[in-house]
Amino acid sequence: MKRSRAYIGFIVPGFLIYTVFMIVPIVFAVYMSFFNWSGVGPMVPVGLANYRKLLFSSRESRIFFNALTNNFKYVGVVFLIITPLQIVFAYVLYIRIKAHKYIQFMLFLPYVISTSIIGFFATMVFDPNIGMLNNLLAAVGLPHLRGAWMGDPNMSFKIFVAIVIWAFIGNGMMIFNANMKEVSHDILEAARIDGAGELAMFFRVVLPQLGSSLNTVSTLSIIYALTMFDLPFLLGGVQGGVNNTLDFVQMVFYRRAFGGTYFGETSLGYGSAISVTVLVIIMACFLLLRALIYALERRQAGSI
Amino acid sequence: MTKRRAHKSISETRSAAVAKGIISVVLILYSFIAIYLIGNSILNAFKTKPDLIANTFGWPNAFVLENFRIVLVEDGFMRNLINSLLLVTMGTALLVAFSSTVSYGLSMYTFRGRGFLSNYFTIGLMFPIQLGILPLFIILKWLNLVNSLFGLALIYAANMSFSVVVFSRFFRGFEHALLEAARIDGANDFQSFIFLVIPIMKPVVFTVALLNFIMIWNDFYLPLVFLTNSANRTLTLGIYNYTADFLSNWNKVFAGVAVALAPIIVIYFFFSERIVTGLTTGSVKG
Amino acid sequence: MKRLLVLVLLFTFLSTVLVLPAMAEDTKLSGKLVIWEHTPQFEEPGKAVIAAFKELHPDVEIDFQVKTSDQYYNLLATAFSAEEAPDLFWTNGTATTNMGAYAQQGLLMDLTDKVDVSLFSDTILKISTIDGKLYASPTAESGGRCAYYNKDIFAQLNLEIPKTFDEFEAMLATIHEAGILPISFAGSDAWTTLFFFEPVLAAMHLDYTESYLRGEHVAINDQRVADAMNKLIEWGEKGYLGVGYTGVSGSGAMLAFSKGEAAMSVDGTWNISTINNNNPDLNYGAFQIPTNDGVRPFVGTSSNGFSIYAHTKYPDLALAFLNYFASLEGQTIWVNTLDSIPATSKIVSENPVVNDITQFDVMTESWYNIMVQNAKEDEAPGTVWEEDQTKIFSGGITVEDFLNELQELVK
Repeated sequence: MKRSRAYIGFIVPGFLIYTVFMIVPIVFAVYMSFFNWSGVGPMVPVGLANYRKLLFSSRESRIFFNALTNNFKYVGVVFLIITPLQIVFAYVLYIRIKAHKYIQFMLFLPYVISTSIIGFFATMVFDPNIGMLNNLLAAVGLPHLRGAWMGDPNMSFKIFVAIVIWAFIGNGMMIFNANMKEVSHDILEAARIDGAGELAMFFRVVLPQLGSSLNTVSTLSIIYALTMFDLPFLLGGVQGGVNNTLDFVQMVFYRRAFGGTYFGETSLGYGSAISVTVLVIIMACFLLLRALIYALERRQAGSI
Repeated sequence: MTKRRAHKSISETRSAAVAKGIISVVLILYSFIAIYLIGNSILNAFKTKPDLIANTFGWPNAFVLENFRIVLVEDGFMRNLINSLLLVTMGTALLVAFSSTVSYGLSMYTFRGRGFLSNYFTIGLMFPIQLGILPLFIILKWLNLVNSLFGLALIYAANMSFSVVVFSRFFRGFEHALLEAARIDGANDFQSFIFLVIPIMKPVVFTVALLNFIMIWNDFYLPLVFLTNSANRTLTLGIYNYTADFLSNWNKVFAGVAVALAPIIVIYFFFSERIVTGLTTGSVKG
Repeated sequence: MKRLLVLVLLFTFLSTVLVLPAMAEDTKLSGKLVIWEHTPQFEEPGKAVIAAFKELHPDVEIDFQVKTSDQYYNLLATAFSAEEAPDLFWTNGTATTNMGAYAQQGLLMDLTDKVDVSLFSDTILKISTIDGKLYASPTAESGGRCAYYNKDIFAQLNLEIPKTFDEFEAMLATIHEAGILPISFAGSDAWTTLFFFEPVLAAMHLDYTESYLRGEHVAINDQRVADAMNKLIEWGEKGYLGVGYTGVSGSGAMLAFSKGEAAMSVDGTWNISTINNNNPDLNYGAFQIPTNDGVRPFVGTSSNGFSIYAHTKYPDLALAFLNYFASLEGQTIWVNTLDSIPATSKIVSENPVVNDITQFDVMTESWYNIMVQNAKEDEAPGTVWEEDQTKIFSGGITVEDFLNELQELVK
């Protein structure tokens, strides 16, 4: 570490850009949240009324907390399904199963495709009328299995998760894979000489070493989970999917701030209140995550 | 004892080999989903309109280029492609420049308020950019940058929180001895940053640039709001307009998707190894 | 046919003669207009009117921008705040609160006596008028709903256009038994649901909307409304709306019909040019779902066109364009490029499907309009409606609860 005034030269240009185009809009959003304002015309100060409406009015709070629950449901899916799957995929690539180069190439490929195209692909597959899934089921003599897919409240979230896995698993998978490649060869050799199979190697040697990549991937995933917007917007529409099963807080914000499809009742004041509330929740999650990781690292350091 | 263990290990190896084989086959089958979806879109792009209506999932009766002509010439996708490239290049370059210097200043120096500033630069991670559009629009207008690719690139550059986190992690493990040596050689701080630090951090620069390249390339929301002029529409925005109303654009949407996918898949095909390793450098260490 | 052509030519000639003198003093109009439209369906008609206008005024530059409907008002509000608003732009007129709010803020030019709207009847002008002041030009399009049907499938099953509602319902069963999808319907889309539900309501209980038109009070949660909604659910359960209709998107439903995969689709009349565009070979027609007395009601609404930004840099040019847009010539181009239902007998369509649709007995009111027009102060029933309408199919809410929650927001 150096003590020199040179840091000012390094930080100031970025600081200016960041402040003007990122912090000023945030501050403005906080300010707007205390007003009733449609985006045109006078801003009517209403104190905390927007927040009260969001948290306590029966309809609004029901919609908001349903969406928030979906966000956290997705966080749960990240830790219980997506992350383990990423680790498993990373490991099978790491032990170089047959065609691993091809498989790596293909698993990662959807990550570079834009979300609007992914959403269109989903329509091509799952639309009950024109989609290929129902057509295929009818063609192979299983017409009774045809379904509403995204239009079925019991299926929509599962399909959504499947699409997320298909589309976005590559990034985290490769981060774990790179981490595995850094595990010292001596440890691996020692375990191998001890006669450990691939499974035992995985649990005893590789898994305990993944701390740093787990940190990175879970941070990325939580940001993604709590700012979730593009994909559910494209899959379930702005109203949040069938029976609001694909409604997330950013979409509630979007509907309230910018209105529905043709109706267009814009309400930037109330929308800002939603957004500020979400910002606070995300910050709390981060502090929690940071504390958790810190505690884990302490324990690990203690055990060695 | 040794014998038994050896025996067990051989049978385990055999069953492990079978298991590995099965995993390979399953994953190869799984990969057909992507091949089919992409392949089908590209094939559909060559179909005539009646062919596409009657036969959405099969092989084209004949290959025609009419859809591409409409998309590229009439709907200006060539222009959109150039706009996208300009925007992505400017956005990524500005973002890397600003975020790397900020992280360097934050990580390599000690000064009062450093902790506060580090947190300050991460707030942006949690803020939905949609909410900022109104103040952003007003700021851009004030700077006379509405409807300009450069103005939008500045907004992308300001979205630097994630990059700052990644760079900062990298700098935390940086060898200070190297800098000391450079200083003794008479280099000032900026010279050593440019001539010593940047060459060393090439892989992490590549990572950050690539992640943001993909993010900016795929974003349709900000272009929709800030590039209202059809002359500076981006490729992803063009695609979004097609897919959002695929009923009226049924014959164009596949050609549009094919045009948008082609460059990114070609790049990925040739550089996939580098892209994948690049993405992961810097995100593991720390 | 020939006589029709002569008529059209005559009208074109007359209107040119009438419009030209008005423009003689400023034939050298020049400048640049930016015009916003909210959805791609109106892209072609907009382009056609602009092209015709530019032939009269070659020095004028017009940048016609078509947005996506889900972003439209948001973009417009942002543009106003930044003082970068387009010179002319679409709003939904009095059908939503937006135009009223803009007018109140002084963002719209008062067009009273500045734009010649003599083409339009007083009923049509309501959509563009607030407190006696004109804030937009309407269009001569009657945005209605109709049942499109596939003539080949009907011929194959020996079906004819139904004469009563019971016949219509029996027909659905026949088609279903033949293994063909009776109605391609997007149960995931509130608006498509509305365009299906309203004609069914009119066919089942025409007295509901008719008594409203007579000035009587009707409740939004009236039993007759619930009946019609329950009818849709019943058809869905019987399989008449296809497997998994709750997951079909608006685009997907119309596409399936234009591909010939469904016998019918009940949707907006503005889809004709899109269907023709998608599949020029589709052999189809349209009819109105009849009541059991054999009356064919048509649920149609007036459509709003463009307003002028109060602070436009080219007020004269914007007015010249809007006058052209509101002229018979402009509206003939607009309505016929869109292939939609003309709201005035002065515009004659040559499209056979359009002429099918105009074969109705009474024009009646839209339930949605009744709801929005009678909203309580500061309440937005449209928002709640859009959020919850499709849940009646997926079990998220009962028809009764849905209608009751809307009634609370309405006088």
